[in-house]
Amino acid sequence: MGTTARTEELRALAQRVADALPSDVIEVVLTGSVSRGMADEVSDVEMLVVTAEQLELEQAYDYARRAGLDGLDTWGTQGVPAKRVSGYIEGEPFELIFWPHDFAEAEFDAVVGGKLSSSADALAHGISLRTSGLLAGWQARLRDYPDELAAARIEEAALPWGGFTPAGLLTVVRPGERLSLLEWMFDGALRVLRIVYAMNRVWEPTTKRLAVRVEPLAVKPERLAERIEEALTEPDPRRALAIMTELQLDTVRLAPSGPNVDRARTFLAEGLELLR
Amino acid sequence: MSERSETLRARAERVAALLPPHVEDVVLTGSAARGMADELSDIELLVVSDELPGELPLDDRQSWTPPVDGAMWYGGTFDGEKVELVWWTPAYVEERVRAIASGEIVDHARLRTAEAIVHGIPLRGERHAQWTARLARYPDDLAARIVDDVTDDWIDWVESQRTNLRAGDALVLAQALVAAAEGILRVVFPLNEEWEPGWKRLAARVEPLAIKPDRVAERIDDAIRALDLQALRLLAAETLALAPQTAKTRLARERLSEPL
Repeated sequence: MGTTARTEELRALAQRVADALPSDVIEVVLTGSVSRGMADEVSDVEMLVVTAEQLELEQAYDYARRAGLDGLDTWGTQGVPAKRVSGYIEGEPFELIFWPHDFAEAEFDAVVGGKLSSSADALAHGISLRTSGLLAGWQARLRDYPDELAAARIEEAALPWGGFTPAGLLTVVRPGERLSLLEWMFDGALRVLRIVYAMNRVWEPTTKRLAVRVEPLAVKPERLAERIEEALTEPDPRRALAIMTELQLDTVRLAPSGPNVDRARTFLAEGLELLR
Repeated sequence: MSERSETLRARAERVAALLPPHVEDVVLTGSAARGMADELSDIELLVVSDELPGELPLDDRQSWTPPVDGAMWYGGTFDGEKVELVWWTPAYVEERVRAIASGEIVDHARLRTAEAIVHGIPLRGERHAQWTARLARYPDDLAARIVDDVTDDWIDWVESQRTNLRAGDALVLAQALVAAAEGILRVVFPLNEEWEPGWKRLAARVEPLAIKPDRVAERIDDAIRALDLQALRLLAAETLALAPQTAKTRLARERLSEPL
């Protein structure tokens, strides 16, 4: 796959930042769209920085500053081992996530063991900017997506698609229920994708740039990304829900049989009849 | 109370009477308890006992175990009406009520129990009155903590939209719309010291609240239908202006008011 010109430019900048980080940084991994060669005008540069010891936020700021970043800020939950620092270099936005080594290993084990996180995808597509061998080891382990994990994810994802009467679906198409409808459809879309990624033994990425992400998957409902977009943007609530319900049904029909998947096949088929 | 609510309540009383003797408490929750049931509504029951309820007076019975100890979900029909039955142990309910009343719980999913119990109708047992009494007062500082959490999310979120929102990325847009609308509602209910409910029947839920942006339910509904994130951001800023002002709320309001 070719990379965009924007990617090349940002990778060079990322390497400069990585090279300027202090020596107790044992691993620097470029992640996000820049590592996948897909950077566009709004892309920022995302990096995972593994340190030998736990850093305080102020130390993480200091490292970022010494690597040439300015306009520093942080985001997300504070008081946790991971420290997040955003900033700019030559006007380009950077996001640095600092993980202490022991936390990185524990987090990686949790993700491979089934914790839902986009970290596995980020690392699988990561590019090494400085290494002591960690990334190569992680990527070797990520090449094997355990069958049991796929089966468990698929069953878990199908869980809410049943259990109440299929006519209950009609409650979210009533006038004034647009928020509940969108909540249900958004959750439905995430679960469809969770099942599809698991069936393809692909680590689940973030929700960004869906069309590009699902394009290479071999096993999927027809026009997957297009139908998600159609459902989420359809003004008529009943039609929107019918599009999503049919997509959910097509997905569980592709999925391996299990208690929740089987129940969902019946429930969604009945629901779709009611919506048509 | 709607006629339908009365019908469902009468059925619920019969279900409650038919549950085994070891079931200590039964509470009717959901729209039938609030008198708002319509033809699509089912019977929702909270069933409290140390042992699993065992024999249930339901046809087409289904069940699943949520990923927690001391809870189980059952579905089925009774006399042609759909019934959803949540089984919790007394210890599980006690712990949830204690944690909510002491202000330990801040997340929406678990806080919703308070609203369900407070608006529930006891059909068997004495505990419902005790739980309701303990949830009668909205905990000190809880409103401030919820507003603080939502504000933090909004500050981060406005920043991240710079790199997340691309034309045609409907899934990311949907996520942003839902997060904005939920954040607005999560601020409005605590400002009125009211337990936050689920978001169905939104207009009826926010109608009694004194402190809220003008026409908040309609504006959320309109903005989501039109996929108008900008409108929700402005409504979020307007909602935060109703909360006690801190440096953080001011920063969030500023960022939310910037054009996308």
